Amino acid sequence: MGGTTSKYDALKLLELYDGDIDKAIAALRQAAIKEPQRPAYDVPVDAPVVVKMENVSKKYKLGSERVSALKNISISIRQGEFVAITGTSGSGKSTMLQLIGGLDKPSEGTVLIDGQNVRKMNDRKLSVLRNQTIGFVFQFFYLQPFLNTQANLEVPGMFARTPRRLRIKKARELSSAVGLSDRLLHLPKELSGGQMQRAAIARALFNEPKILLADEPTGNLDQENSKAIIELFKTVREKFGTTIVIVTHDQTIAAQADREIKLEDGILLT
Amino acid sequence: MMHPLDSGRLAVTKLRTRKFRLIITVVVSSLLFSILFAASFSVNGVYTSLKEFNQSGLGNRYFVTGNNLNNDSYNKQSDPELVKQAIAIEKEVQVKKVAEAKRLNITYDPKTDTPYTLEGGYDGKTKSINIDIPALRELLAVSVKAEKGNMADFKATVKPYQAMDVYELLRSGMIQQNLSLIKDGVEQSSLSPSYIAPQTGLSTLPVSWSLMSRELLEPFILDGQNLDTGKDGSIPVIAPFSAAEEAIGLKPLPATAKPEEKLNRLKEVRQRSSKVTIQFCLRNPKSAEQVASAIAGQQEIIKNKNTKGYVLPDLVYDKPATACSPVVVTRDVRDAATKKTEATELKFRQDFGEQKPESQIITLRIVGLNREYTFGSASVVDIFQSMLSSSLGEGWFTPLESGGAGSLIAPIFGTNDSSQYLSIRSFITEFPDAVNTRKLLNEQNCQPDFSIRTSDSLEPFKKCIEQQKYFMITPFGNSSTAIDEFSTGFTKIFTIAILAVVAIASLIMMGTVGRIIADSRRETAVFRAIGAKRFDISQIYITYSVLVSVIIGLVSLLLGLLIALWLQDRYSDQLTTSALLSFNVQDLSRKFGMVAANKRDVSYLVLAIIFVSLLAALLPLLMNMRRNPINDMRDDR
Repeated sequence: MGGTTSKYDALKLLELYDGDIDKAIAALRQAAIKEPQRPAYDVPVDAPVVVKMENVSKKYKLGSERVSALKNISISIRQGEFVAITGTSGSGKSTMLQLIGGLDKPSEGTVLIDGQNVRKMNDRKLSVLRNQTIGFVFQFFYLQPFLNTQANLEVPGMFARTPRRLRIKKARELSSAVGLSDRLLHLPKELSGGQMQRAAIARALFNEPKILLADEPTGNLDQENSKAIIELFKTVREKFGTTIVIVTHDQTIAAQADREIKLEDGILLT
Repeated sequence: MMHPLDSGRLAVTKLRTRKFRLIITVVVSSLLFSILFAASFSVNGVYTSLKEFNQSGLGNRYFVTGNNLNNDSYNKQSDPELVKQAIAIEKEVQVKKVAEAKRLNITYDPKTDTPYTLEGGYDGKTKSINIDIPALRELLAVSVKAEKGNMADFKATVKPYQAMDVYELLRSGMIQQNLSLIKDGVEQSSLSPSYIAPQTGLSTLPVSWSLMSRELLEPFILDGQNLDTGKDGSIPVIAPFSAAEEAIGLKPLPATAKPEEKLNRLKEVRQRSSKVTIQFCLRNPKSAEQVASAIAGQQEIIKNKNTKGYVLPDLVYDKPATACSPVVVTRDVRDAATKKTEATELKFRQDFGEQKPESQIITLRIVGLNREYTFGSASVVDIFQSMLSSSLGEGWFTPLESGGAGSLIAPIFGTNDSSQYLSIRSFITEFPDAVNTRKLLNEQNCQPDFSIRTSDSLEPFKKCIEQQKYFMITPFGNSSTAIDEFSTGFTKIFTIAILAVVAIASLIMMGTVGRIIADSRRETAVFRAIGAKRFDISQIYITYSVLVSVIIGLVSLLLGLLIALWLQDRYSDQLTTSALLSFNVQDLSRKFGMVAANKRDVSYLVLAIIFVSLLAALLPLLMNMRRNPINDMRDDR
């Protein structure tokens, strides 16, 4: 990957611009100008695999039809990796994120998260896995509107039965880490979009997960805030060695990841 | 499971959504439960007060009265066997009379005699004996006395139910005597012993005077009074309130009188009636007939005063010169022979049973007050007032010994001879508790079937007699049994009402909780994604539901209390007056409270409200439990 564009990408780009090569080149140049810095963090060679998908397929029932959302996917993500899952709408990227997040089980194949086979886990164990090993960040933040930032951050701790005193301490530390220490007593409606997403990231980090999953985390933010959020992800990865998996259709964000997993019609392209 | 405080904190956030719907739910459910709270507070308040007031009078004691069904002297009059005997006696008497008339040389026509049998009854043809004939009255009395249903039979009936003492009540109903009030030394017109007579005042004496065992009268006597026959011969009597009022010279209060006016009247009547005596003139039918005849004769004379050729009768009577004395002769121009013949005829008639005129003054001394039989109008208060009745029953009461054989009033009750058995006799007994009372009532009471309409007036009673049940048994003296029934009945109705309200409130609340859960699907999905177990989610909504129920509980409790207090404010004074009157309470400062909490009812209601909350949460939760959080997150896109 790096700063180059693959043959496949070029073809896709041409397709996007209806074969107008000039427009495609102009777009490429524009992209090159915006080319951000590669992550500074180096994933240790011996880092353990935290997400492993082997021959995974996922089928949904859509009315009377069965639709394949993912087809025979095999990937491995190591601890500390920053991975972007990209693809067009309906390509299966969200499905993949849900499988990695233990929100869903594969129709075929095996999904191992932190060494645990998702298919063999019951609801209770999956809940614990989501609570302790995984952190979720959503496009629309999904903060509880009637709880202040402090309490919103504490919610994963509530489900984990973390003692209240410890929760308060942790929420303060995390809010400080995401730059919201002066917003602890504010309700979500009193925060900006960027602040809300930072609060959501802090919430996702509450139980110090090994994996942070973000579904279009910048989809609802302006460019400046998007940039800040991505920087925050990078900082989290550097500071805690957290594996970051982002679903995005934004190439500039994908380009900042260590690796891009491209999907099309449920098939893994790269 | 989450810490309850945390689930509470998350549940509180739900209270801030769908506020309008929540308010409607709380208001409607609270109104429903508040009615139950108010009913419980009010009914228990009334019940508690009834129990307290019931300590007075005959209250808080379990009495029953047994009315003899078998010895019904009215129905016995048409007993074919007695009719047959009466006809035989009539024939025998007529034969003797014819012979005696012949011996005395006086004219006698049997057709002018009072008939020994009469026709009447349901079909107008049923023959019955004429109890105006003393011999037949005695015949009837002896027949009645011999039948099953006397005191010994009553004792045998009630003994297995641990009955205590047996008392007796004798009504004046069947005895034909004439009573007239003596007012300011003047004898008033005769009080007709009619059952359609007014039910208040002094005029009720002839229809509702009873002799009763002294023990039952004692709770009703006024301070400083006793139940002994006075040295001056005055007869002690417990009089209806309205009669005492009239004796004092007070007009009855209008129905619209305020409670304090009624209370003041009660005080006044109590104070003044114990100093009042009432005089009646007791005349036997012959004496009364002579008075009536004298009055009619005088009227005739006045009417014909100016009529030409009108000749004054040889013998003229005038009404008595003084109260309760015999009629006076104002003119007697009969010749000696006529006088002799008429004297012989009179002796002849009297020898064959005609009464000699007799009259005597009876002085009644009010020693106690009895609750009025008919009381109040059909209002809300009446429902409770029907419970407020510690009374001896309708009318006037005198101890049995004051009316015994040889007493002044013995002719009224027939206690000089067997004719007392023609009066309505009831037996009263007391039980230690409601259980035995109810058991006796259930097992031994027999209700005559008055729907049977045949020429045989004894028919309605036959079924009872066949079953060897000789008494119609009913609670007596107070509402102890009724109060107990009321309490049991209320518990039943209350339980049904709770179930109905629970059903309605559950449906309303289910709708609200279901809506809240549906509204929160995305949030639930997010919570699930960040580690909430299914049970954690359920816990949040159950906590929400419990929080709503706590609000409903508090609001309905407060509202119920306010309603009960309002009812008390509105009706307590009226009920206090009624209760003070009804139970012959000496301490007139006592109040009839209408608000009391019953632990059991309140617990039931609290449990019902909690149950509603759990039920309301359960169904929507079960419906949402299996939902895939991914779909809910996706729906939102």
